[in-house]
Amino acid sequence: MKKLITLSKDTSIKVSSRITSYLEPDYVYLPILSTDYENFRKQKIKKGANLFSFRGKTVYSPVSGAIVGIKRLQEQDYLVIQNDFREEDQYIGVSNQTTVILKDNFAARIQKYADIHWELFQGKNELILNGIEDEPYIANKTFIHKYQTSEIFQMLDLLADYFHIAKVTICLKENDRESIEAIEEYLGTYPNFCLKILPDYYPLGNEEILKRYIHLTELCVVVSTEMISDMYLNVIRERKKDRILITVTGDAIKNPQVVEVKIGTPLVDIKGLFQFKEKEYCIFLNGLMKPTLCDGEENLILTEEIRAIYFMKKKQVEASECIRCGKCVEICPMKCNPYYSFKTKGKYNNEKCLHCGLCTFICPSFIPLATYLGEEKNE
Amino acid sequence: MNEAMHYQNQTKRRDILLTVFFIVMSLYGFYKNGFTYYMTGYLSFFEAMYPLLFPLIAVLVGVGWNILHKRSLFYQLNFFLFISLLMPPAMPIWLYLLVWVLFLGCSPFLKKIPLSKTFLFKICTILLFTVLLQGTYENSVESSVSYAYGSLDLFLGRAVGNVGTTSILFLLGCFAVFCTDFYYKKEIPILTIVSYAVLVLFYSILTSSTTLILDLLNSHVWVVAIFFAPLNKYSPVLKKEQYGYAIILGICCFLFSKFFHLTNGAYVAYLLVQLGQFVIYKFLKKV
Repeated sequence: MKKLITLSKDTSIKVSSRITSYLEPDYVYLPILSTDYENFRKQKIKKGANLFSFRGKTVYSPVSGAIVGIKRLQEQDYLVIQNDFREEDQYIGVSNQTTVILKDNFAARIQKYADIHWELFQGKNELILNGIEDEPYIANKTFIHKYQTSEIFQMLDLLADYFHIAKVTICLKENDRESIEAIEEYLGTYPNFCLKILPDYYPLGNEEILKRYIHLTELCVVVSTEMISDMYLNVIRERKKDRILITVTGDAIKNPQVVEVKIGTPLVDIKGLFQFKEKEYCIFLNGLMKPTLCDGEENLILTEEIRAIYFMKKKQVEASECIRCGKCVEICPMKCNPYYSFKTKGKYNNEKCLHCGLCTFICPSFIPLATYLGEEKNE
Repeated sequence: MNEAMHYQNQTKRRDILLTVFFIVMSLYGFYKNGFTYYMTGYLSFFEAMYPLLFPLIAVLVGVGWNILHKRSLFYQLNFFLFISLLMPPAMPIWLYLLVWVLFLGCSPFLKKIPLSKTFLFKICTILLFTVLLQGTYENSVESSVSYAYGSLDLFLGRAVGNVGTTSILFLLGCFAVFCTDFYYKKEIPILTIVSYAVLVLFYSILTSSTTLILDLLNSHVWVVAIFFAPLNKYSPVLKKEQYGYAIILGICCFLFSKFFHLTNGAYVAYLLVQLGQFVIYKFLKKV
């Protein structure tokens, strides 16, 4: 295992310790993945209503209201739903409070929600919760650990009991003090649970790297905090996911924070929550190590794929000539050869590449090496 | 490209520390080749000040070159200072100026030649030092009297060598400064010196040589190992190749310095290793 590095972070852009909620957008915009447009006639719908399915993924309405039409934004069609703010749920009778479910009833829920990939857990003897937030400044998992600790433990315990998994390990980074404190409170109640505190290395949050770092075998299954949280919501509380956590941070705003928004909320709706230091800035999505530059903030819709938004000061740098330092090769955790990919102008694409962005991060000539290693495969 | 997040290398601190070291080494060169002899009456005042001319001219040339190219006055001034430290102490000033004229004057012509300009640059600069400067590195007093230096003398710099790079202590200080640079290939100088030292040791044992310490503390080898060999653009990228390159350089330094008794043996070794780097690269790829 190659030695991993710790990313130096700017402490001035650390997020606030409280979540800000914005759960009443006037309109939500849901990306239309299906080509069946006939069903999208103007109609009233309830929260959690099944809108369409595409490649095994079902899209549900996050609000109750009315479908008003289809709008095209940045070469993507969106279904527009007007919010009536009544929050009328499709699933009547489901309690809003935390549900304690007996282990016997869990087997029935497994059968009911057969679309979830339960085969992941079969035949395993250790369940690993990957609570590591890799990308710097993102705090989504920390808040889930803090505010949904009981739900996470309950879900993990049900899984471990049903699938006869002997041990559950929760992996957290040593600098994530809030998550560690929240988890440690519940740890004593579950004798087969243990906490593994790992150093602040990047990209330890990547499943492949985590498996190698803590020497996991084939009999171990790794799940993420968000997966467990969503699983609890769907299977135990029998509700559809209607909201997401997004970390909004960057050196161009004064009050970075984690925001809870309805799925499909436009970014412009929540811009007023932030105080900007700069008039001109760049918007990056989902991380600074593998940044996706956002073209137009007016058309940006907050969907489940977006975990973080960075408002960063504009810093244009020009890539200069490669100085052959070899650091890109040295730092790659998967032993790829970004230098060779760069020299062959991308003809040599390494399939092992995790697209962690370390090669671009370390390059003294500011060459975007990650672009020469092939495109990231979206699952 | 918009910079989102990037590693911050501390080059400013390294450059400042290097400048300090180079100034100290220049002053030591003046002390060793001029001041001590002035105090003992071997040299007159103006003859004693002669070693200071090298760094002063280098700074003037550097500043002038930067003004010509409309750059910051102190841009890469360390490079010019370092070149001045490599001169033999008894070198005539006109030859020194000629070196600068050739060193800087050939740059525009390199761009017009279809071969890689860096490759030719390597050949030109090293040839300059080996052909033009071949000869004794003794200063004017050392060439006229008998002398003997002990181990501590060699380590501290009271030895025959370049104007400012005879002190192994200062060279180690420069190495320590370079090691603070994240992009410095520190394994190369270490392996070069280790492989050279091992060969010198074996040779000394086999031939019962009495010059073991003198050979081990050969400042030319240390200069090549610390300053030239790890230059990023002219050294291999992959670790395996770097190790092979360093070991072969150490062997060549031994061959040319000790075996063939060349004063500039280390520089000749570096030149040949650079020229043969492509062959070495292919050989290591097979390994």
